[in-house]
Amino acid sequence: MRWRLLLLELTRREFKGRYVSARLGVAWAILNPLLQMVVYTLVFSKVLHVGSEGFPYPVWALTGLLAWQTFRSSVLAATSSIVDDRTVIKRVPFPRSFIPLSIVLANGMNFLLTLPVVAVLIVASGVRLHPSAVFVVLPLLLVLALAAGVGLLTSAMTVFYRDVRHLMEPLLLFWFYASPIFYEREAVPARWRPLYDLNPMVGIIDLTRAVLLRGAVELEWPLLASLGVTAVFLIVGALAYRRYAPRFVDML
Amino acid sequence: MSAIEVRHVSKRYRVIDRRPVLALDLLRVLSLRRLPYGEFLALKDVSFEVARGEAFGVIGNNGSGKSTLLRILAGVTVPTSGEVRVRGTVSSLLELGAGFHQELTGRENIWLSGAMMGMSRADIRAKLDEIVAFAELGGVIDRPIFTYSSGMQVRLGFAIAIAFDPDVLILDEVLAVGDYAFRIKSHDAIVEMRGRGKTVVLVTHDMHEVVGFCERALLLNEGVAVLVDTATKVVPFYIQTAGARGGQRYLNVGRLSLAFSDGRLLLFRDAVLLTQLTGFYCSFLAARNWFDSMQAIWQLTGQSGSGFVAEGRFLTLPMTLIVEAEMRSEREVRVAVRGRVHEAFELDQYHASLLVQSQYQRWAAPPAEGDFPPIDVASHEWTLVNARPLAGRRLEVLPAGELPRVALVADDERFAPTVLNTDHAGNARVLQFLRRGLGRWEPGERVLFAGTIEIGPAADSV
Repeated sequence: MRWRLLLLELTRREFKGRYVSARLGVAWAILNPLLQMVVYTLVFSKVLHVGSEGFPYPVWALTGLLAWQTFRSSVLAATSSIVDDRTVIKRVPFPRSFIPLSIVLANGMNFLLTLPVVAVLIVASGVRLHPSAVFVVLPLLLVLALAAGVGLLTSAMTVFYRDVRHLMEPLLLFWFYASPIFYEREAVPARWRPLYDLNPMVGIIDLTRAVLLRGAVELEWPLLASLGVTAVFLIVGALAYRRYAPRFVDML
Repeated sequence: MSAIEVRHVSKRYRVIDRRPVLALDLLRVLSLRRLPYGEFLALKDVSFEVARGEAFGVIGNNGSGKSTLLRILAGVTVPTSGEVRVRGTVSSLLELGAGFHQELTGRENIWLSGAMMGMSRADIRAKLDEIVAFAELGGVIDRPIFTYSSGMQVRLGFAIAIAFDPDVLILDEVLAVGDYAFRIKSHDAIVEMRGRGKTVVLVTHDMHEVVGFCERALLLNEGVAVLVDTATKVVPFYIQTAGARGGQRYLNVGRLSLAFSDGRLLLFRDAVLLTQLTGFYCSFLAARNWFDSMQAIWQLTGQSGSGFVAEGRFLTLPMTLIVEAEMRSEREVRVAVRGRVHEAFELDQYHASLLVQSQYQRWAAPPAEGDFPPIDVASHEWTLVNARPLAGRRLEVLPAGELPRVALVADDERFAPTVLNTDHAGNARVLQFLRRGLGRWEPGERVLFAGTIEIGPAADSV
C-alpha cells in the first residue's frame, strides 16, 4: 500500500511530538495516564462507596479507566488535528484522514505501554491476572475503532466550525459519567439500561474487565451495541472525509 | 500529449466575515432562514493546457487567482466546477517556509515529507543523502527544524520537492527566496529536469524569470485567464497593463475581452491577443510634437457591467481626453473619444489608430483591398501600406489563421483612412483614421472620434 509509510511516520511524529520537549520523554506517556488513574481512583474509592463486581475497587476502576483514557485523549487531540496541521495540509495532497488516524494509533501505543504497569498493579493488589489478559487487544481495537470514527467526524466538523473543539470537553465529561468506569453498570436503573447500553463505551469497558479480571466474555447486548455504534461512527466519519476532505484547504 | 489540461475551471469561495459558529448556524437552519454567505469567484472559467516538457508561467497581480490555481493543480483543493487533469507524479512547493514539523529534526522531516508524497521507505533512503547535500544542511540535518533559518527551510523544501523526480513540478514564488548561489543552483536543477522532459509550472512576480524560463505563460486577472500565449508576448503585455497608474478596466463578454489601460484599449478573443502594442489609441500633433493618449494621466470616472468612461489629462497639452467604451456583444465594441479643451491651442493633426497582430496579411477599406508587405527588420519608422488615398469610414484586416477579422469603423467621414506597418520593434499592422489641417482649437468639448470596433464576420456579410 502506497501510503503505509505515511501512517507510520505520522504516528511516530504524533507519539514523539507529544513528549519530545519533556525531559522524561516516553516515561510521561506511561506516567500521565497512570497519575490520572490514581487521582480518580483515590477520589472515587474514598468519597463514593459503590460496588466493584467483587474486585478491589482501585484495580477495578483502573481497568475501566484504561480504555476511557485512550478514547478521551484520542478524540480530544483528533478533533483539532486537521486545524492544527493546516500548514502541511495547504501544501501537500496526502490522504487527510491519516492525521486523526495517526493520533488514534499513537494513543493505542500509549495503551500498550501502560498495560504492563496496569498488570503489575493488578497482581500487586492480590488479584490473579487471568490468562485471557492477552485478549486485551480486542477491547483495544474496539476502542481505537470507536475513537477513529468519532475523531474523523469531529475533526472534519472542526474545520468548518471551530467551536466544536470547545464542545468536546463538556461532551466528553458527560460521556465519562455515562460510562461504567467508577460505578457498576447494574447501578443504572433497569428501565434505563437499554438506552444506557447504546453508549459504546459500556461494552468496551466491560470487555476490558472481562479479559483482564474475570476471564469470561459474554457476548451480550452491550457488546453488540458497542460494535454496532462503533461501525456507525466509522461509516459516518469516513463519509464525512470522502465528501469534505478535498475542500478542507478552503476553510483553513 | 499534454501534461496538464485545465478545462473551464471555476473556484468559488464563500465569503465569511468571521468564523461560523456551529450553535448559531444550527439555530439559523432551524429558523429556516438562509445562511448569510457571500460568494467570491477566485477563478472564472479558466482553460489552458501545458505540454509535456514545457515550462509554464502563471502571472498576475496579487489576488488574481494564481495561488488558487496552483493549489488545484497540486491537488490540495478541488475546483467548484470544470475539469483538471495532471498526468504523472506531481510535486509542489507552495507557501514558503511553512509545512515542516518544527519539533522534528531535518532528517525526520525528510521522512515525513517523503511519506506525504507517497514515497516508500526504499525511495526515501535512496535519496536522503542527495537531499541533505543539495540543501547544504550536512551539519545540522539532525537538529530540530525550529533551529533552522528561513533560508535553510526553503532549501530543504526545494531539495525535497525535486528529489523524487516528479513528472510535474509546481512552484509558487519560491525561487525568489534563498540566496543568490542557491537560486542559481535551483535554477540549474530545474533546467536539468526539463531537459529530461519534465514539466514545470511556475508562479512568480519576477518577469525576467518568466521570460528567461518559460516557453508560455498565463496571465490571470481577477480570476479570468486574460491571455495564454508565449511568455515573450504575455510578459510585455502584463508589464504594460500592470504599470497602469489608475486608469484600468477589464471587461469580458462571451469570447471577447477588452482591457483599457491608461489610454490604450486592448482586445482579446479566447485569451488570444488580437491587438498589438498600444491597441486602440489616439495621438495629437501640436507644436510639432506628437502627444499619445498613453501620456495622459488617466482615471476611471464611470463604469458599468459592459462599459466604462475614463478621463485622461495631458500634462503638456491643455486638453482632457474622455474615452467611452461599451461592449455591445462579443463582436462589437463602441468607442467614443471626446476632447475637452481648456484653453485655445494649435492642433495640426490627430488620429485614432488600431494596432493589430502582424499575423494579419490582408487589409481592406471597401471597396479597396490589399496585402500588407512584410515588416522589414531594418525599418525604424512606420511605413504607409495603401498606395493610393483611401476613402470611406471602414478599415479592416481580414482573418488570418486563428485570428478573426477586425474592423475599425468611424461614424462619420471626416477622416483620411490609412493603413500602415509599424517599425520592426512594434511589429504591428495599423488601421488609422487621420485628420489633418485643423488649426486653432477653442475651449469646449467636442467629439474627436466615434466609431465601432467589429470582431469576427461583419453582421451584414454573413
